[in-house]
Amino acid sequence: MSAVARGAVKARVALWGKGYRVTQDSEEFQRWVPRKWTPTPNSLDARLDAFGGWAGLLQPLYAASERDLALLRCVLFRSEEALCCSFARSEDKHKRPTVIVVSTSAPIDWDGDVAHVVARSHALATRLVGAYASTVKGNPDHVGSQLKNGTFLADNEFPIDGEAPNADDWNDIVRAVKEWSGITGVASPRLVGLGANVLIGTQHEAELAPTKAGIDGFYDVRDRAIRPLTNKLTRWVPRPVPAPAQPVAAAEALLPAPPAAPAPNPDLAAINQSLQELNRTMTRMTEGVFEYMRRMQELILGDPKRRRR
Amino acid sequence: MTPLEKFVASLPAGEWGALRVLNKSEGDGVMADRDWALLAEATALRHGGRDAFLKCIVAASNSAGDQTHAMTGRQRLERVRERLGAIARMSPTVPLVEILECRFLDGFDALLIAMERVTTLHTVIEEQRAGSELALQVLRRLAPASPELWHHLDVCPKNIGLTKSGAVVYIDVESMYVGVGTMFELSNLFGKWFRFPDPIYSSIRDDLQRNRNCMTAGVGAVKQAFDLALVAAECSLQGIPPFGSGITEAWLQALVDDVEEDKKPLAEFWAHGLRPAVASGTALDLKKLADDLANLIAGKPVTTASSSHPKDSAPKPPTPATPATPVTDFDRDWNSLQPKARALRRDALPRTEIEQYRGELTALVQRYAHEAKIWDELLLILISYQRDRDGALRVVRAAREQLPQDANIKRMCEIVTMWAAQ
Repeated sequence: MSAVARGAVKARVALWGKGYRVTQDSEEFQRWVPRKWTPTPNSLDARLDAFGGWAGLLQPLYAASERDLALLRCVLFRSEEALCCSFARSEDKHKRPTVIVVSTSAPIDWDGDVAHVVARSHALATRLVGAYASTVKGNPDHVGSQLKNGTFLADNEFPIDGEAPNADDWNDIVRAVKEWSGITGVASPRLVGLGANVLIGTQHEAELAPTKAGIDGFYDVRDRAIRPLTNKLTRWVPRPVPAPAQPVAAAEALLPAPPAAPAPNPDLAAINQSLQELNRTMTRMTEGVFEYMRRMQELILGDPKRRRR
Repeated sequence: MTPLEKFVASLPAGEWGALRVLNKSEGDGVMADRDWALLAEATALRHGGRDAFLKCIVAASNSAGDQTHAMTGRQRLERVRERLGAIARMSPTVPLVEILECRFLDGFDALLIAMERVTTLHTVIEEQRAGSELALQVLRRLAPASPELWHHLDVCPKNIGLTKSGAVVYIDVESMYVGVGTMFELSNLFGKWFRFPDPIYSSIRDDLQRNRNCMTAGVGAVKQAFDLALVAAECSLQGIPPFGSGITEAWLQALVDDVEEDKKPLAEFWAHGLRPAVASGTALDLKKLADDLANLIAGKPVTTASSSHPKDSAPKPPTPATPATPVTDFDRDWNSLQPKARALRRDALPRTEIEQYRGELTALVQRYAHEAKIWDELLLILISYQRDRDGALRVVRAAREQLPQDANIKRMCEIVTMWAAQ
């Protein structure tokens, strides 16, 4: 029985923001919840706690819309845990925009249903960050007191099984992640700085990502597969399939086998179609520009056949 | 700091989002009415973001009066918390609203009871969204599997809710009692006693007097069966006549007379179904009532709902073509009060107007001291709307002096005396 069997999973919640003096003697961006915390060494929580690149990561997010922020995704993986981060806009007491972050970390079992845990952890982080953005808006005093006293939450472990996943492609992403060794996390282009080495997007976006971000591959949303860009990602060698203990009964052998490849996701068909239409539009626009230039050339320089004469 | 500020400061902001404290006009029930509790709506962030209703009962301070201590003393609140814990562990499950949290707050001596937010049957009936299907649920879901397991003391449409998933549940959690052997030890006798016919009321009163405010499971079962049948009738008919001088044969007749022609068979069904309890305090068989109602809805023949009145064949008094005009000063004054009386029963009177109405009635009882209707109305306000125990005791004693033979005043006197003795 898996240690993280369904129905028993809880995620540890942490909250970051600026505007209150909670874990630092300043109102700069800092961890608010938990106030006192010693995460397990080398855990993803510890890694995020020690992350020093918040300023660079958050700066571009101030200009992003609430909707864009809500669509950002970042999941970091370790052998037995996954950590999700979600972002939301809020305001400080001077009505200046701020960004707050909620992370949720939960244990995973790679032989179990990782997508179940990841999808719900991400949903929890997104739901909480949206709610907390309203709670801390304007930096109410009583919230500051609770953050300082450590009474903002009764307990920072939240059950996740009741969460409704807010994205439908976690199964595909996790399936793709399981095929490769060397993945530290998957993230939207703006969040790869948190430590993910696989970008969710296109090859173009992966190539545009700063080299210091250390992108080793990208998850192509069109064909729902991870494409390695460096040799740090290697395919897992499949485990030898154990020989069946007993010969398969004739009737059983006639049963249809499940397809080797997953069935195409109908929800991605629309995206594929949109991308193809975009491609056709771009082609038409390029052809149009070339046609325009050819005509202008004819107008200015005359017909090339006539010029030759 | 005010209690409200203390409540907001001590409620973990990370657990409850979108907090909205209800003001007095939005709140309902004796607790909010008397500033014993703060009511709020919030999002339960630990419970998947569900809509929650928060009731924060402030523990009585040392300087609080007897009545406040009886209702919100720390000891009683501890017992409420223990009861809810016991109810949560019961099997089969009790049809109580889901309690999301029940604990004493840190830094504020108050019991927080957080529950799933529901719509009261009162609202559903007011909005004409109730019906016989809902009545069937009330009959089938809200009775205990066995009468000694648990008992809800204060059953009425305001204390039953409809969840988002469409299930009916009890919501006035402090009125839920767990059986001790075959008895229920009631910490507070408050209930809608005016919603009972005389035979059932008398049996409850005698039982409580005999057992020093403990109710035996058998008496509780009769009470609860009538409670639920009456609520089911309210749902089915989308309202019932005002109780006025109690639930009597005349009230059952009004139940049938007051509905439109197309609802007559349904009203007759309920009049017939409730009659055994009204006439002789017989325990109603909710299962049979539910089965008969289901048959009626399905258009199948119902044997029990054959007649609305035992003396249907008897000639009725002729109905005058036009209502009789007031002939006395009292009739005129009484008729002038009726718009307010109706508004009161529809919960359409704000608190200030109820107070004003009470003043008018107090003046009228001086003038018409021998008119029971005025005393009844004044006592209804004091007992059911203002929960003024001392005022009710004073008035009911005065009424008893003026009308020593009036059965209803006598009954009111007993209720209020029991209430005051707690």
